[in-house]
Amino acid sequence: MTDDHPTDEPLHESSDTPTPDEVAVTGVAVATEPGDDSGDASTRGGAMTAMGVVVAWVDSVLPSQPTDDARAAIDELIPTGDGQREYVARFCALIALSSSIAAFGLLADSGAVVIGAMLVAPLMTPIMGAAAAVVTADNRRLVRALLIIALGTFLAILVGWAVSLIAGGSVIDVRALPQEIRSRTFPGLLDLGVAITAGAAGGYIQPRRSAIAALPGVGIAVALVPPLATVGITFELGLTTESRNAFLLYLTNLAAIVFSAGIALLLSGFRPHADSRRGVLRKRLLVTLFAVLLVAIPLARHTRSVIRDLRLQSSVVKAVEVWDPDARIVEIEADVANGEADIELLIVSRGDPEPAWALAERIRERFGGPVSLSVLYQGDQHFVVEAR
Amino acid sequence: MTGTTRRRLMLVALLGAMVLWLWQCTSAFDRGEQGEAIDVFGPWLGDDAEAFAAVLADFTDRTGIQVHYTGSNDFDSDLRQRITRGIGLPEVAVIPQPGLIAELYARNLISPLADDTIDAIVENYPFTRQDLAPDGIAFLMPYRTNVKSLVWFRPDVFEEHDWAVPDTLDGLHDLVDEIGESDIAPWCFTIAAGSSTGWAASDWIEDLMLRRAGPETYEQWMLGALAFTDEGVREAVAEFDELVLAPGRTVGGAQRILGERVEDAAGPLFDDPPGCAMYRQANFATNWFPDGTDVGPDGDVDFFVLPGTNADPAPLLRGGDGLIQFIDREEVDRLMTFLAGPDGADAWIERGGYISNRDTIEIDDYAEADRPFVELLHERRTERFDASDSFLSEIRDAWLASITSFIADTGRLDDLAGLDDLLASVDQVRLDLIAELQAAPSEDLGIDADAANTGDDVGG
Repeated sequence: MTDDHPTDEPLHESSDTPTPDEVAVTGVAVATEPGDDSGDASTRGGAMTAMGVVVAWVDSVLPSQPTDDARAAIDELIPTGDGQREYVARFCALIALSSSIAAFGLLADSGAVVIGAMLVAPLMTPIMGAAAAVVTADNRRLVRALLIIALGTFLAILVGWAVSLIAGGSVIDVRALPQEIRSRTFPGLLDLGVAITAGAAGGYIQPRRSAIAALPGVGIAVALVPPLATVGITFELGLTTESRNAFLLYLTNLAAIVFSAGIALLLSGFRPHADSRRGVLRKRLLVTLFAVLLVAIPLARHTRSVIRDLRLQSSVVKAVEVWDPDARIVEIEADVANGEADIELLIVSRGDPEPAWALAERIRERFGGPVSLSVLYQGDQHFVVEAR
Repeated sequence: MTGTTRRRLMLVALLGAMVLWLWQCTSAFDRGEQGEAIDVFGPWLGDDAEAFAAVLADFTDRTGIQVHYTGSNDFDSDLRQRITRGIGLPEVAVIPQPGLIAELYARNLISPLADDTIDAIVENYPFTRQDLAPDGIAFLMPYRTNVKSLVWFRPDVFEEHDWAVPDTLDGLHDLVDEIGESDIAPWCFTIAAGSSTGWAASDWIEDLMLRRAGPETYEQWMLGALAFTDEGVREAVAEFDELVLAPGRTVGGAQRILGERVEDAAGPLFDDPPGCAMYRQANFATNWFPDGTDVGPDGDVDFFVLPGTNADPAPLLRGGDGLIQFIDREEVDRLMTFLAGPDGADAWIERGGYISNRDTIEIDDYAEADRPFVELLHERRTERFDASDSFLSEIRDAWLASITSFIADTGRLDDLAGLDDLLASVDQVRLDLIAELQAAPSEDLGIDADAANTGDDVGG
């Protein structure tokens, strides 16, 4: 391990001042000093506790410095100086093309085309750049990356809107949107899980040139441009709620990716560039913390609502089991909004349907609040019931 | 304790707090029931259910008695199923069909209203005790009424095309022809409603029959005393066919008529450009309009009363929801008395969507959007209750199924071939039922007068 950051050392001289690495990992407090990997937990505050042992073990396992190659791979994400103009031009062209492919694919309800659009999308670079800038508390890079992301976001929505203006006529009934579009207007926990793991994969792969072949897969998994195209399309069709939901999906994906990619980069050894002047350092750390908070708030809100939805969903599944043991749930959609449960079920079973109102009452007992339930039985009988 | 340890402990505390917060966010799932709640069952859904739940919450605040309301779009078949399969009846039911009440009464399932409830009705409604309970016993509590003969339209669209609101039925036919020449279909109309599919078509036919055949003939039909093969019924169906079902008359054609729920019928009226120009439905249709729809001559949508044969004020078709109780329990009696009393609809009136013929509510007390309907009630036009809701279930089912199958089979009543057979088959159900009832002790079931009088009371 090279020690090309000697300025790391002074930071450890005073243990009462939060060191950047400690704050940036929100308490994981990994050691950054070369040679500090010997597990000498006894010299630390947590020496006597089990946690102290765990921390010491983590310290010993994690790399404390990225390699030069890894650092270069991250630095090259957003070129500076002469290359910058060319980069921005290329970025704009790719985002416009990608969003336009995505929008046509969405309108045509073609999953394959939408995947194609994800491969063309260039958003991954500024997002990884932003994650790296957050981790290394590099404000200038962070601002640049965020500006490029904002530009890309605006452009992708604009292109989605324009494509819908031209080809939106293919959506005959705006209340019957293509499945590819509809699925992007209901953000759920699975989307969040995909974003977090894909972001982590991005953060892991980006500094490792040997693994770079896996990056397109991350681009597909992350899928940021299709939600943006959906924002543009739904906005053009006058569906403001759907538009807002798709934008929320994008924002939470963005937040989750920056967050998990940041963690992955941290684990790869990226740390704030230390500065001799403590005031400047503190300011950078504040910006980093602010960025993390900014990411954490929509994430927490989102997680809270999806956990509620998931608990409702499991209540529904259990209630259906008791209601009709032969019933099989083919499709389920369950949301909690304003304390009320809104459930749509597609159910197949044997014989005549059990009364839907009885199911609604069972769900109400488990859920503890008003329930609005729509049951499509065997695909042809439709029951709408409410239990308050 | 060093700073690092302190920070680690804070992290643990923070993580713990987040877990607790998430737990708390979802803890609504674990709230248990307290006491024995009253179980109310009815057809109201959506805004209606929410507003009624607010009324019930008002009752709970005052008395501490919990009440649960369950609503179903397949309400009448659900209620019958509860009886036939012995699933257990609710304690209170909201019933829009006097015919169904007559049946439940005949089966001895309804519990009489408490004296206090009867007093509350007499104090708040234009009924005397003699009207309500000639022998001291009453079973039905009137609650909400509605006006059915309304045609909704968009003033901006009418103005743009220079269409005028017609003042006679013939004028309406001319207007429909005129609209048919534009890109807009004259009507929004759908009928899917679970086991009650077809009621929206029946309402149309009833409105036309009430106008063409006159209130007396209509009433005979409503009471089950007029054959379905009567010329009055036949002509009403034929006129409905010509006005609404003929090709190009309804947006989406037969497929949409049969496939979309009644509640979703008006959607295309609000599209831009609109898919249809008019939509005939009761005042409660405002619940199904898009959120924020402004009703009135200068608003997004306005209405006119389906015109009569001449320019005089046309008769009104009315509907209504009454409450019955299946059990004699003190808490249930208190709920019924509260609902009949002066505050028994306050929360609903405040939210809008509630009108009634209570004489203790001034017109200014109603929500602004509901006042035009109340004014209509105050105009003292000729009024008749919804006939299909007054039919006994078997007749009602046969009638609604026949109308539905006609639309399904032909897309319209093709040259009206088969209409006579259809009406004859429904009438056979009526005749069989009458024969059956005559064989049974006559006081068991009042097929005509009793059922019908009950019906009038629901609407008030």
